[in-house]
Amino acid sequence: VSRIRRAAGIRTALGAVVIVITALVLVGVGQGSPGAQIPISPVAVTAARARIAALGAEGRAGQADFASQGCNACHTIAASGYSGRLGPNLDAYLKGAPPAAIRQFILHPLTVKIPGFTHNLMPNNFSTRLTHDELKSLTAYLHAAAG
Amino acid sequence: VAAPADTPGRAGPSDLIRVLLLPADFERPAFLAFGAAALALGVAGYFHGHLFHEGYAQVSVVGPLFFLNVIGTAAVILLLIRGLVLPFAAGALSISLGAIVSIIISHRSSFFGFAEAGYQTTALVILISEGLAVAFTLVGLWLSRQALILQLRSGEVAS
Repeated sequence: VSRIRRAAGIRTALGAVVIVITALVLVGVGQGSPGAQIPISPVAVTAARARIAALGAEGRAGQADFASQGCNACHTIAASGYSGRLGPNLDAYLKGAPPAAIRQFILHPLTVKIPGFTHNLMPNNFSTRLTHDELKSLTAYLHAAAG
Repeated sequence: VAAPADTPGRAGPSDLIRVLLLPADFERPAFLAFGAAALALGVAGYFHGHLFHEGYAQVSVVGPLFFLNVIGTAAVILLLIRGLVLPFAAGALSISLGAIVSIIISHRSSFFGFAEAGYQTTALVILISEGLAVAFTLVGLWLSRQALILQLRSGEVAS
């Protein structure tokens, strides 16, 4: 009887340990955190929206491509309400970047190393996934969004 | 013609479920294999939680799945602690194989619109741990097969 009670005690203790560790993991104790979120002012967001709107159909197409290609899962573009934090915040990272550099970033992401982010996660097959027009509108959209 | 479920000597679905949910009395090698599977599953669950907080939480579908992986892993380990071997094995295989397949799909095409190219160290640890969980679970099932068959047969006799 004492052996059965001891086994039951061990099971209860193990179960309690599992529940406590799970609770700690779920609330994030001792876990990592995403890359620092760079604040962008409401004025800058409004200006970015205006720049995207000024592009007309090309801006809308670029924004749609950004979402359909899954870019919004990892990247933040405040003007469009995208808040991905797995990759760099594009509002900050692409600010002031010329369209050629943005195009390079889309097509050859593995050549870019950004501190705080794993550099080899982004798919490097957009040269085959995007048509010429899609790449053009996506580049224009990102250029307008980042400013 | 199918025999009625409550025919003496034949187990109906409810009897089978009842037997499957009985705590199993398995021997040390099987116990160690299932324990190792639970440990590997736990490591994978822990790192799923880690990645969830590192940025995957914002990824639609994938983020919530990481969260569910942590909860599911804990639930499955609790089943083993309770001695419910077959439910543990079914849960462990479902979670681990599901995670492995999802990771492979997200690297080959896209998984619910999410795609990745390379593997960060944490993802590799998860992949290896899930693989070990599958292997140890299968080994445990193989080692405890006679005890489990006896358990199922005793359920048939009891009904």
